[in-house]
Amino acid sequence: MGVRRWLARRAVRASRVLVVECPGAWRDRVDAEHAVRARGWRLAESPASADVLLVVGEPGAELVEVVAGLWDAMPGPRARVDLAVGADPEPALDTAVASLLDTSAQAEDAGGRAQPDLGGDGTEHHGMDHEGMDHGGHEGMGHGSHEGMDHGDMEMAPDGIPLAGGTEDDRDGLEMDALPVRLGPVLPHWPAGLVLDVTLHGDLVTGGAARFLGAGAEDLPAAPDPAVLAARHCDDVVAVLALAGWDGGAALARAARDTLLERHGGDARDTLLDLRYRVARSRTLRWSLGGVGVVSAPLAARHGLPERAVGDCHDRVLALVDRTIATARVYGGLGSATPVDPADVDDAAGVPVQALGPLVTGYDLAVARLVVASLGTPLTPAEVGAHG
Amino acid sequence: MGEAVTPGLLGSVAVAAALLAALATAAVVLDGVLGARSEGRSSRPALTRPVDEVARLLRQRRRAPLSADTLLWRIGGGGLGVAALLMVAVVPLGEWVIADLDVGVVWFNTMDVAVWALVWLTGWGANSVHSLVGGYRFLALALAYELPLMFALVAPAVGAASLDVREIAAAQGSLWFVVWMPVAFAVYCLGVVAFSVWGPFTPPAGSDVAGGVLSELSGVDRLLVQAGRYALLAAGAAFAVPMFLGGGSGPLLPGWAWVVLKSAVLLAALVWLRRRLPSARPDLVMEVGWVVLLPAVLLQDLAVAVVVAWRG
Repeated sequence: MGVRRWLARRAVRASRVLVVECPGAWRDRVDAEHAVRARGWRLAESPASADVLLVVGEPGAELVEVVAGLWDAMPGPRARVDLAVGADPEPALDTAVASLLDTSAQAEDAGGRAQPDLGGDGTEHHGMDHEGMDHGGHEGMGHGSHEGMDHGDMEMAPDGIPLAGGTEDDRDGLEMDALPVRLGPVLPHWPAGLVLDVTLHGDLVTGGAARFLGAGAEDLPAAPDPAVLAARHCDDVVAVLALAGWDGGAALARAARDTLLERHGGDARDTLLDLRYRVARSRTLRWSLGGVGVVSAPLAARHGLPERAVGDCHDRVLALVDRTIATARVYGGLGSATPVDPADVDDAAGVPVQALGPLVTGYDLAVARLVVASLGTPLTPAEVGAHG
Repeated sequence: MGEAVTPGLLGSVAVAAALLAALATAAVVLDGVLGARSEGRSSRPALTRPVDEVARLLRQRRRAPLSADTLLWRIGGGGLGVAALLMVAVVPLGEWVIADLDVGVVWFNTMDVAVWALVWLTGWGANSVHSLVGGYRFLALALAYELPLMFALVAPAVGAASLDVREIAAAQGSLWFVVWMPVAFAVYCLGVVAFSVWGPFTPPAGSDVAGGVLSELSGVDRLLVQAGRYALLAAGAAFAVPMFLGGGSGPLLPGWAWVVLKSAVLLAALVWLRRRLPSARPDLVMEVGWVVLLPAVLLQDLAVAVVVAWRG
């Protein structure tokens, strides 16, 4: 027993946390991630690697199902904590530690689960009707009770997983090569609550449709504080740099974001300008993002995109940095004596969520992710209405 | 130094495995400390990270997705560490080597090609989209890095006129091969980083696909894959020592100590380099691999061959 306790204590020090950000809980998610990192813990990229499921904010009906699927896909020992908007993350993480260390409760939890290694019996129906989900079972589609499958054709669906189908315009002429997959709503560096239903040929996206889970008028934020807005814009930069795999740049952008949140005006200016300089100057980033995911001016106009969306991913990440700097000026966060008039700042010019599907079509998954991130957090239909 | 000790095979393998594990652990710690420092956090948790992470993954239950091909999946995951161990089997520690093959270079190359299959199986076996995409990505990377890597291995072999790793190490008495084969050395290091699915070659396990080949791994399965990646990185660094860095030659210390020391330094350099580069998408790497690296390393081979012929 002594060894087990010791093992459990050591294990908890290396915990990985899967954070689910519900719409409207951006600020709390950032604080929670901060608390997670401060403990020397790390963020999980998929439920299979997570010990703690941290749900930040109030999930809507659809997100509740997704969270249940994620919980089911976690191997255990596992702990789930819910963090209300405005609550302190520390006690929540302490609860998670206690739960992970409670060996008998964990054993009970494990005993009560249906054969995790066999992945459930594959017969549960949940009345949703997506054409076959990411049967790998992440991001909400847990295999234990893979809700969301279309069971209309069970013969062609071993273990309840629909086979990939063929299409006529297949680029390589292979049968059974078109696989419907849902990206999101819980993916690393992914806008909260966004789902993008794509058709994949191998890793090539051949069609897509995006929407927000449970997005309605009630999700419209009341005119956000400019400091928070600038930090949010900065967070979009973090996502692009992290997806480009540039850890150093992402850490810098994250630092700039946190400085903005703490309202250290002068520091924010220095950090942001340093970020702008480093992003613009990095040859490897230009090599990696240049010429990728080009959006032409007519295309942008057709989908109602703002001007900053025109260009390749590298242009857009620079535009995201510039947008952050512009927004920060609004609240005088950059130390300028005369705050800029908010009306002069183009911060409302977000990307309508419906535009994402057509824009990622034709790219492989890596580029599609970069395109989504480089456009910045998209607007819900309600927000488009409010600004338009 | 160089005592003709011949411990039993099992003993030798145990020693090699322990050294490999120690190097890999050191790499994990160094990477963690560098990461913590770059983000301005305390590096204390990183110091015990290997122990904590092993405890965590041993305590975690293994879980397989629905309809996973668990046999192939686990062969892939478990095989990485084995491949690394088989790589170091031909690395001479001073006088002492586990397997004194006369085709040691080919043996190493075989192992690094086996990694193709192992990573692909890890991606394939999980029966999950992100995992499979990770597998595709690795194959695309492999097509780009493997040929340059093979030709990089050719240079020291030509220089020493032998495929025997000990003879190659011995042939560098006066001048290390890294000095007059810098291109081959650089390409070799890139290859090592690539077959370890590491640094700029992380996209097969990238966060944009929720961890790719790693996305569905949990418990001991994940432990084997993660340890295997670091072991491959360490094994690649160790193999560079007899190939490019003069083997066990050096003042004062015995030969085996020099081999370990040089391996550790090269490994540390590879770990340090990681943070400075963004990851390279497979299509970009393909271009660089075939248009830049392959011709460069072929020219290097040509230069080495000319020098060897000149010397007669």
